[in-house]
Amino acid sequence: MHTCNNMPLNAFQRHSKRLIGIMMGICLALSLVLQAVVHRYNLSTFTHYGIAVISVAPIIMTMILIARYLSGEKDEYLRNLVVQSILWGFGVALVADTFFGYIIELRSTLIPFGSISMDIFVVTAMITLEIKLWRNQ
Amino acid sequence: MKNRLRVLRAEREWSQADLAQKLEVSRQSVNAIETGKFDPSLPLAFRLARLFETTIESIFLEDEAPPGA
Repeated sequence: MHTCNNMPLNAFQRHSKRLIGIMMGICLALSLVLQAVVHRYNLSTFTHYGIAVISVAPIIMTMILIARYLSGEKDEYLRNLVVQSILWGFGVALVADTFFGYIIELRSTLIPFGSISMDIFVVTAMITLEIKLWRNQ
Repeated sequence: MKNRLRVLRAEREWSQADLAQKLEVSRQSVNAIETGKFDPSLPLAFRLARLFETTIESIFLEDEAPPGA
């Protein structure tokens, strides 16, 4: 049985967790592929905008999945923990984004951070949720 | 908010898992409510009251009496 910190998950929770994990993988894979394409080929401005739109598609899908999960979750305590974890995820992603944004700006260093902020968000939210569940065993 | 959930559960010899199953929530939810870490919504409080065949006020107690009481 799939568990979340020894907590048995129902079919809806397992399904949501799997879909969000898949979207996270797509985000990461897409960011690597798009970075490689952008740096290897001399693309037109129109293509750049197209790539930018493609890169945000899985992020929008993940947000829709999270919203769908929150509206369908019947366990209000777990819903509360997930919302808190999501806020932590957003917070850490914003902090990392601001920090690396300044590093890139001031040192003209190329860090492919913008494309992995979604993964930072999801990983932080998942770690926070695990910690919160562990604290309330 | 304080509550008598642990006492009521012990009277019926139910485990946290048993109560969680009857309420259709996770065992962690029951634990969080019992330890006062989480205050349930009104619908869940009514479900608890119905399950224990009592009133919400007899399960959940205010931490302090309201001013002027």
